[in-house]
Amino acid sequence: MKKRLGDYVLAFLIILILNFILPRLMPGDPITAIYGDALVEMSPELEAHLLERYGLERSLPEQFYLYLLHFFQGDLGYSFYFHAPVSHVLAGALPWTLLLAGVALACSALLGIVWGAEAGSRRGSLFDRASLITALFLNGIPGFLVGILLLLFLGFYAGWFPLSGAASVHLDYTGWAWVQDILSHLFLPALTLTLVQLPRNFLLMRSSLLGVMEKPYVTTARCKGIKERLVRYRHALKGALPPVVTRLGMSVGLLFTGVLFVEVVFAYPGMGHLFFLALQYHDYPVVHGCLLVITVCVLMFNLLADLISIKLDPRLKEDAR
Amino acid sequence: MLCKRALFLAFSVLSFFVIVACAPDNPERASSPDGGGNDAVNTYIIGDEQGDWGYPSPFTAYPRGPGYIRMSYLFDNLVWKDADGFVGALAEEWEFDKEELSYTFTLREGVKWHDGTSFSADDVVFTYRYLQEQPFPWQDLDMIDQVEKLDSHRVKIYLEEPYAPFLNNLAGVVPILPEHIWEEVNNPDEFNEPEAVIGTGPFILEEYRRDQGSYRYQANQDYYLGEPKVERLMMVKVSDPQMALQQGEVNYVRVAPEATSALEEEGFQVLEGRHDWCLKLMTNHREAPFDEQDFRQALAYALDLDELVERALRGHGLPGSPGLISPDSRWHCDELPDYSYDPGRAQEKLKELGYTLEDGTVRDQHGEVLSLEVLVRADYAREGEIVGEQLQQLGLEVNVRSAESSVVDQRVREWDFDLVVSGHGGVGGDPDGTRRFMTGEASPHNNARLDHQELREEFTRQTRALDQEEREEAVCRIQHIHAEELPAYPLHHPTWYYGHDGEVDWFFTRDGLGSGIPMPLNYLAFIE
Amino acid sequence: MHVNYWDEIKKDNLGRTGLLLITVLAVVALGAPLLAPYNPWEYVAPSLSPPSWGHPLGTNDVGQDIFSELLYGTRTTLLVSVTAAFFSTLISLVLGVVAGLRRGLPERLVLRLVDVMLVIPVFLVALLVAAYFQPGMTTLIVLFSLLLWPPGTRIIWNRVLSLKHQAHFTAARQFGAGTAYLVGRHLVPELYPLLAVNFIQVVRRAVFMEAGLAFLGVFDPAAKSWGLMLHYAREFIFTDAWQWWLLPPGLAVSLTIIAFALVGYSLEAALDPRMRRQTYADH
Repeated sequence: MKKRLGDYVLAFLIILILNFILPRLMPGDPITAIYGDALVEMSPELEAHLLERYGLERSLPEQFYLYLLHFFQGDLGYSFYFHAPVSHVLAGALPWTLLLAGVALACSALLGIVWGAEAGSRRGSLFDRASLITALFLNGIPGFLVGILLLLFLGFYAGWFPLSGAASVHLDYTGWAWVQDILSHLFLPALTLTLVQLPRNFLLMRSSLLGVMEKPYVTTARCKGIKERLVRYRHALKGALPPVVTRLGMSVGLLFTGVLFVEVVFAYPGMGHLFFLALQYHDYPVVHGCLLVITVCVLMFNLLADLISIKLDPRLKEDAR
Repeated sequence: MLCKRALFLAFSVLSFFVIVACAPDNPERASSPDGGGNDAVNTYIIGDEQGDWGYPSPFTAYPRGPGYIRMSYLFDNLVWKDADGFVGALAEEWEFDKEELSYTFTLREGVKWHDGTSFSADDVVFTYRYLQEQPFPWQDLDMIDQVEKLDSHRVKIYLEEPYAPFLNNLAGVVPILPEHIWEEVNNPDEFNEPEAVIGTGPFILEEYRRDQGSYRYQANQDYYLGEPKVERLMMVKVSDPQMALQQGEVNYVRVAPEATSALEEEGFQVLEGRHDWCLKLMTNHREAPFDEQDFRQALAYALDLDELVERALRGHGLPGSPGLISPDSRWHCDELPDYSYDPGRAQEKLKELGYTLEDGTVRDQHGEVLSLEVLVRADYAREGEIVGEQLQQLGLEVNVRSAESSVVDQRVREWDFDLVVSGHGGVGGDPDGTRRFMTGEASPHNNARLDHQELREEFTRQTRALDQEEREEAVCRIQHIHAEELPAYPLHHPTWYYGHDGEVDWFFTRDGLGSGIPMPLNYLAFIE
Repeated sequence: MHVNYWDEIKKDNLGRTGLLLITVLAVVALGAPLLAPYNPWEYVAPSLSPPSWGHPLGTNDVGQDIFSELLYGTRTTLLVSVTAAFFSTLISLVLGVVAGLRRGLPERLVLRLVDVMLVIPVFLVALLVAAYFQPGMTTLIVLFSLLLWPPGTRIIWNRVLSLKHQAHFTAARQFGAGTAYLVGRHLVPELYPLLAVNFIQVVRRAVFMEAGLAFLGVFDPAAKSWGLMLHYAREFIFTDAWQWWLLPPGLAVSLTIIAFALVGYSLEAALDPRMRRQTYADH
């Protein structure tokens, strides 16, 4: 466990450093990148003012030191593009991503586990073979393609769901209507993300269950005369779950990749969308902030997954991963 | 049973979604009386692909067209414009005194700020003084000598030098700020309080959501020119403009050229915009071989702009005007040199310069193949390729390279390039604004930076020319010089289209909104 | 006991399908200049024309033949992913063997690095780096090789640990065999199946990442890539063009990934008794 924590801290530090170095390797300064096409001429006073405020004229080590200092004070900087503290910008986007990712994770995990268990326990049957093939094929379709197709068919042609955004802004919804509105905007992105994650979870669960089925304690349980159904679900499943949960935790990084694509395709105003926008506009502080927050989320999900799987199988406590 | 329970849970979650999401209550229709719940409000919705253009105070709105527009709905200037020319806003009348170089504005009476306070000359005096002290992103107020309050409703502005576009670029652009709010504010670009958006304009800000990229405005019922036609105005972000318009999610949005025929068939109106944007081929005229005017002209003759418009814009645009100023601007000079596609002429010019054509490749005096690099940003990759192809047909060896925008900007700034394809707006408005694209050191990544004595003199002349005819003459001369020297060769002016449902009668402002924004979103369309 | 994995795959239906698809792709990639009716960089017809006899998939927004673009796109995809997979597998092999053989500090370092990198969201980092350097194929190959080696390394390390205790290995060592010999003759041949699986999985990931980056617009605009086609096609989604411009490259990417997934799965199944614990199913 301690080792895991150490890994997480290290990963975080690496991202921190990477975050800082990369954008600064590019030639050209962000001022030109953002204001370069402005309709109005940038006066020298304004430019000096901006340079000073963003500290771009200081030396690189000085900037890095400032960067670390601010970070540990909770100050993630000021966004060039959004004209607001980065933490505000992130705070606006994070809840949507958590909603989307959380819903998709829960749905795909639940469905995947159930599906995988059913298929795994009926190995070789038509259901199993069909499920396997479906999962393998579905797994190969990239998330952004799924998203675009769903957007086209269910959103545009059928008109059942809105085409973008997280909520209708021009209409004053309160209470139940507001919840409904949010959910209707959430549906397509969440469905896409769930479909993307589902096959992987299915395959995980299935192979884990298959592995467990051969274990001695399962055979023992069978020999003891316990009903097959009970053997499957109570004994085998319990054994099969922990590695799946751990792997689920590990695949959170991939979940966020999926979130990025889905948010871009549906213009869903979460962290992924923000990250992409900030990249385009060279808004370094927001890019840093996004990547840091996403990494923290990934690490925390990992930690959570580890804790859950330890609960499920106390033997893992000492497992040297 | 764990499995059964899990299955049940999963199904209930799914069905919950389905029920909720397919609920009959999905009224995304804009401006319909039954807008979901508690409002029967007349709403107009403007769609925008970016969405967020900053908090709409004069200092925090993003320094681009859409940012200015959102601010202009809240704040009035001294004068404004409609399709034909200047109309009074906060000033009812104005007079210009040639000897004193002063403008006397008679202000409107009985105007109130959104918070109820009365507007007076003090606010105008304060605004102009304040904006000279604080960095104001829209305009440079250096040419103002002083602002004098004559009485409670008359203000006099003295200029240091004659400035012909004063009304267009200053009086018609500078928003008047309420003194009682801004006099305490020392960091206006961090002033995000609700007071920051209190103006005298036709709309009042109700809500701004940065994360959603949305603005909600309420009509100012006491507006002095008349109450706006809509009770509520919204500007929202859309990811697919055409779909949003077709689905009724918005009333107005800028649309892609390919969508226009389908939209018109469905009963929408499509406005064809004036051309304000220009894509041009910038040359490094400080180094050989581009330092020869004849060489630059040869390149121009080698390029088939009609084909470029056909392929890159699918016909939705105009070939570039060699004088840079947009062909449908009222300042466009009609008799400019013609560089219509003429490869023979191009070859001739090259020969005159001493180049030879051997088995299809152009060689210089030393027999070396002439090799050029065309640098482009990823956005202009298509055009770059077409230009490269056409130049290759002339016999030049061309290498088209795409790079990240800041890399391109940097290289242009340092004169480390051969040819660059880049573009900018601002060629359809007041010609004073085109100076920074032709000469001087400002905006280097878009600026041809031509060092030409007569050009500079003509620019100065047109800035100071208070007589319209004299100004037109100077502007024409400027275009001629640019067209002859060709430090940058304008390639095309794309056409922009705006689709809407006909509820509001949009029009194009003369010389562009404010100092030259080419969009039809003039708030006067909502009045009377 | 050496199982003939090749036969195993060919026997399995899924594996066969996968191999067939990969063969088709390879043929298309190699034969693109011959198979494509037009040069995909040339403007051959009016823009956005629907499919016709001359242009089975119509033309894109600048008048290039989409079918030809599709064929040439195969080259980009396969070139980038196969090369990246090769180098990535090589790195995995080297690091895995080093960690397995030299216990102690090198092992700890490598494993720590692997664990750390497994936690980092790889695609986001790739996006960050790629966006700033506006890459072409070479940059992507380097980037992918540097980012995709961790999962395989751990598995190889694990295998090396157990191989070390096998009779032929210890015997050779007793007889004084040098490290190079041990690695070359006793380790690597045993590792081939693992390396093959790793290779396939990395190809799968690389194809996805390349398509994803290009879809987001982070790619050399002059190259012919399926992801890039999707990127441009997406702008015209409100017209009917998506049927012939968006779907084909999307299907192409999907089929490529599926093909490799099928072969990979089938290979893993053949290795099943040995590889029960750690699979690639989670990547």
